[in-house]
Formats: sequence, C-alpha cells, structure tokens
Amino acid sequence: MFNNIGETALFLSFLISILGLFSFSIGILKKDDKLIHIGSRCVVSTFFLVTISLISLIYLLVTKDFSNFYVAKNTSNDLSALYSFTALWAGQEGSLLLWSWILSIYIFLLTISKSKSKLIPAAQNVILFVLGFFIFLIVFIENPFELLLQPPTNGRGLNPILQNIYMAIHPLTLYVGYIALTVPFAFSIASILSKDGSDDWIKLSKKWTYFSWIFLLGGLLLGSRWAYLELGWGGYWAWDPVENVALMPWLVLTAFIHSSMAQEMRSLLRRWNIVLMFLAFFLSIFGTFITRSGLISSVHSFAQSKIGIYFIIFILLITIVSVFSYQKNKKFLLSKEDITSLVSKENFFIFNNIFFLVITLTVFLGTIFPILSEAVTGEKILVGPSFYNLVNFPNVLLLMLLMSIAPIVPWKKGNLANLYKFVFIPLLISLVSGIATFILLNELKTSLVVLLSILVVAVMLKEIIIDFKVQLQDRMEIKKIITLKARRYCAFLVHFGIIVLILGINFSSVFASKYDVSLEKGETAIFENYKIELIDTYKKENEAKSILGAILILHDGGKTYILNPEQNNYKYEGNREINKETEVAIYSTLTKDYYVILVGENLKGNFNFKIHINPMVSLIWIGSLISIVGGIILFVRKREIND
Amino acid sequence: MNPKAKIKIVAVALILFFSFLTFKAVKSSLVYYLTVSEVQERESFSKLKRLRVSGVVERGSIKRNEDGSISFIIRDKESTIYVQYKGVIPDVFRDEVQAVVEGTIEDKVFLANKLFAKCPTKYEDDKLGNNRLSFVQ
Repeated sequence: MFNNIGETALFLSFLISILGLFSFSIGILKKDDKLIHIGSRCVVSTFFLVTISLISLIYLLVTKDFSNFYVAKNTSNDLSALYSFTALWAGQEGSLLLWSWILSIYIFLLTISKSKSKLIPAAQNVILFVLGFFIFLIVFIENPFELLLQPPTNGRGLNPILQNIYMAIHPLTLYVGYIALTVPFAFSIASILSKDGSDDWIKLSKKWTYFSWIFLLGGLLLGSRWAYLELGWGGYWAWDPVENVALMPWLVLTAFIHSSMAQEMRSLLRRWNIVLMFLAFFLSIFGTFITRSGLISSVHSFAQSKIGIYFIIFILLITIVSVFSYQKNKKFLLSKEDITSLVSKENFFIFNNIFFLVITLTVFLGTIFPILSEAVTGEKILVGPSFYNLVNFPNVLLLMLLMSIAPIVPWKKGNLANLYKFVFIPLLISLVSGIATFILLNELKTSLVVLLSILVVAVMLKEIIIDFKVQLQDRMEIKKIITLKARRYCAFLVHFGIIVLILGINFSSVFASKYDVSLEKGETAIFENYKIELIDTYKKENEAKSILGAILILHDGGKTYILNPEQNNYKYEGNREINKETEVAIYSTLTKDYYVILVGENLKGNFNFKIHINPMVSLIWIGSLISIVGGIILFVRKREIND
Repeated sequence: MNPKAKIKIVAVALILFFSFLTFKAVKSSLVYYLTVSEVQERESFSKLKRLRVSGVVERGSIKRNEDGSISFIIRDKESTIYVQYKGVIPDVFRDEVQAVVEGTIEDKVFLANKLFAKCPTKYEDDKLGNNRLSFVQ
C-alpha cells in the first residue's frame, strides 16, 4: 500500500511542480499577483507530496518490505533499524528522492518567509525548475517504488563498509550543503533577469551561503574521517574524483563569501559575484553528475546508471540560461564605485579569489584529465596526487599570507606604513618560529607553513588585544565589545580553524611513517623508537559475522597503548561482492595517531600487521570543527551592527 | 598607472605562473590508464614510467607469498597480465572482481604498489532485476 501512496504522491508532485512553473512564469511576466500566489500554493503542495513519498519509502525500508525493488536491493533481514533507515541514501533512487525532499524544504522555507523582496517569486521559479528536474528523474528514470513480482525472502543487504556512523551521516551532510547552493543561485538568476540594479540578492543569499558552507565543510570532514577509520589505507584524502567534486563547490563558495563582502560594503565586484555563484552551482550539479553517472572511474563505486544523459541536458540548459541572461543584462551590473588602491581590502579579496579559483581549476583539470586526454590523444591518462600537491601548495601559502594581512587592511585605501608598523612584531615572531622549525626539522615546506601560521595567529591576537585595550579604556563592557565585533571575531575563529587544519594536513603528510610487521603470539618487534608486542589473538563468531582479532601493546617512549585491530567476515553477503571488512585500531593522541591494521594470518601461522604512525592527524578534525563552530555562530547571529 | 591596471598586471603574472606550474605538475605526475590487452598489444607502453591497468582478477590466481606480498593474474577479454603487489589489500579484493593496479612493468611482470578493487554492479543481470514489475517502462 505504501508503495502506491509513495508513487502516487510523487507523480502528483511532478504535475503540480509543472503547474507551479507555469503560474510563476506567467505571473512574473504579466505582473499578476494571483498567479504568483497560485505558484506559491503549488510549492507548498509539492513539499507536502514529496514528504509523503519520502515517509512511504522510509516506512518500506524500516519494515523491510522486500516486494519493493529498492528495499530488496539495499537492505536485508539482519540489518539494524538504523542502517535500514540510512539505506534511504545508499542507492541511486533513494538518494534522488532525499535530494528532492531537501530542496523542497528549502523552497518551502523561502515561500513561507516574511521577506517582501521582489526577487522571491523569480527565485522560487528557478528552484522549482531544479526541483522539477529531480522529481522527473525519480518518477520516470530511477523510480524507488518499483515492485517485484515475487518478493524474495531476504534482500541483498547494505554494503558492510557503509555500516558506519560517519558514512551514515556523511552523504546526508554533503547533500544538505550542496543543495542549499540552489537558493543563492536562484537569487542571482532572479536578480539578473529582473534587471534589478540593487545588491539585494547578496543580502538575501548571505545566510544561505553560510549554511551551505558549514554543511559542505562538515560533509568533507565526515567523509575523510570515514575514509581514515574505515578504509584502512592510513590516509584521509586521496584526490579521488568523487572527493574532488565535493571539494570544488566549497572552494568557490569560500571565494564567494569573501568577494560578496566587497559588494555588500562597497557595491563592488557585482558582475564577478554573479559569475562566482553560477560557477558554484554549476560545480555542485557537475559533482552530482560525476558521482551519480559513473562517468569517471573512481574508487567510490557508485551504481552506473542511465541518468547521465539527462544530467548533461540539464547542465547544458542551466549553462545556456545563465550565460544568456548574464550577457543580456550585464549592463545593469556595472559597479558604481571603483577600486582605488592596491593596498585595500577589496583588492586583497580579488587576490583571494584568484588563488581559490586556481585551486578549483587545478582540481577540476585533474578530475577531468582522463576524459580530456582520451578526447585529444586517444589515451586515457591520469594525473596522480603529486599533481594536486605541487600546484596547490604555493596557492595555499599565498592564501595564508593574505589571511594574515587582509583582515587588518581597511576598505578603499590602506596605508603601507601603518600596515608595516602593525605587522612588524608578529612578523618577527613568525620569522623566528619559522627558522627554529627549519633548524629542528630541516624541512622547508613545514617551516614555511609554520611561519605563515604563526603570522596569521599573531596578527589576529594583536588585533584582538588592541580592540579590548581601546574599548576597555572607554569603559565598554566586554559583552558589548564582542557584539560590536562579532562578525570579525567569527571570521578570526574560522581562519584559526583553517590554520589548525593546514598544520594538521602538513604534518600528517610530511612526517607519516609506516611499517610492515609479522608477529607470532607473544613476539615483540622493534622499529625506530617504537616497540610492539602481540599479546593475544582470538576468533569470535556471531550471527552476522566471524571475527579475527588481535591485541597488541605499543610502546612509544615511556607510554604504552593497547590496540585491538580486527577483521570481520560477514556470513550473509546477499548480492554484494563484499564480505570482508577491516576494523582498524587507532589510538589518537593530540600529537600522534597509532594506526594498526590486521592484514591477516600468513602461511607460517604468523600474523601480519601494517602500522602507520601519523603525526597531528587530530589537528585536522579539531581545525575543521573550530571553523565549523565559527561558521555556525555567523549563521545564527541575528544582529548586524558594524558589519 | 591606475590601480586597476596594476591589479590586472599582477593577476596576469600570477595566472601565468600557475599555468606554468600546472604544466610542470601534469608532466611529472602522468599515469597511463590502460586495459590489459592494450598493454600487451603495444610493447612500447612498458617503457613508460607509470601505468594503471584495470582488469578482472582470474579465479584461483591469487597467491600469498612469504614476504607478505601477493601475486595474481588480471585479465580482460583477450589477454592476461601477471601482477605482483605488496601493500594493504582492499576489503573487496578477491576472485573475479574488477581490480585496478598501478605501477611499472618489468620483464612482463606488473609490479604494483597500488591496488584498488571495485565490486561489480550487477543491477542489470541479477535475479532481482529479472522479476521487477515496472509501472513506467
């Protein structure tokens, strides 16, 4: 029954979204408020219908109704209730339904918002168009309510490597962020089509861009954490195409968040911001297309599917509409003011944008390189991780340099002498730390990263100290100072998190070491300053799997750590080709991660282990979390004094 | 010179620098992606530095060596390659899966230092798929 309800609701929502598109379009053209009102009604109905459809699918999944093809494909009797629920986004059809539902929430929120902006109906129309496309895909191409003639007694089950809490929420987090980009994109299109010469769309988009930024970063963090804990190769990022396409919208969005401030404050870079927003949205759709169509081979094996061609048509359509409307109406987007000095905040934002775009372009080029090379030379050629690292490293250094001085440079025209005076002491401190690092570690890259990190932090601290000194002399309360400068302090917090993240990435990639060890029970191996002893091994069985485990003690200096890596063999494998799963043992400290993989038992009855010593990986998670917290405060903050 | 022109000059210089860097980086990190028969057909490929080859793991060919490395054979429709690999073995790796190996060729043996494995998607030819009842098609 729920199959019928879900499918009917979905089909109705498709019809209603088309009706909504027509009433919005005609209503906007003829300036007919009644038609626009009908359009808004359609949005609300679409939202409710998609919600009903989603609930139906969740019900089918949780009750494990194997007469549904999607349920039979993605769950099995031994699957826990939680993962039966998360199976909602384990497959193509469910993911698309979830995607549509999230977008329908956004458009619903926009519809019931109190904003009286003239841009809202046109923005609703754009979002409804995107939503209509996704609903079309689920209704006609990838239907999650397909039935089976003879329901099997058991489904084929969820891939065991997806049965992990990080993996359960990571795709959802990324979706929420990705999809939220549709709203600012819709505002930008609405702004340009309505020939509205104002900067309203930037203000309307602000919270949405923060929201999307937070979730994209959160999604990236969860994804790399999952890879680190679950995949058992000792790393967290591999420059895999699927990772790349999730990173690119975040990079462009970060560039936009900076350059849009120039428009907000000084009405500058107005055309540029529109272009950036187009690019961010294009990349988010491109990312969905790459991950969902299987066009570029990736270690993430998503289902290959037939939706590729529809995505290409959709991307082309979006691109044509965006470029055409931009070309036609760009004369309304001339900036009233001009950049007056090289040493000014607005100019530094331009450079920020250049570096972010170069990184994005590099990642884009690396991702599509196999397709490009095949088209040009007939050979499929890939570029390895060293490509990304080589190009991105100088970019990141330059961005760090900007991050240190741009926040303290004023708008319009800065004074070089003042700037020099301000950064003199921080620069001295950072130079000393940089040189000290070089003497200690004899590694140039790390020394440069440390130098710039200290510079960024020192400048921020000096600024905060001066702030408080001045204001406290004026007898201002601390709470008031913080409110007054909230936006700036949030930016500092985000920047600080990014610095911690960069340090973590640098140390963990430069100073990581790994060892292969083969031990019999009771034996001890020594490598460098570490000593590791195999205390015990065990074999366990339960209903779902058999487990091979080992207990090891690792000595590092005076400290000892107990590690317990395992290997699971799932008994019921359904139709999946995976039944083996490695449980990595990790002992995380602030300075080092001890990461042990049980490779297996060899012919002589010894046990083989891979041991990774990864320094400062914790900083990656801590840094991202700090930035996310900074972003959340920016997002929830109501008052905008002195912004 | 007005500030806008100065910014443009700096921007162009930066972009040129990064284009050059990108070009160098591409040159130094190339990996050729080939099928098994492509490697066998054209001997010249074996002289290239790094290759990535994908193929299906031959049933029963996986052998564990004493030094902890493994050897196996991958094939496509026409030919096969003998592979030696040392490193972490992906969970999905076993007979008949699609494997991707990266490394170099020496004396007709593929020495891999990277191994990826993918579970085949059996959506079209599986038993579930055959009895589906579709409203749409």
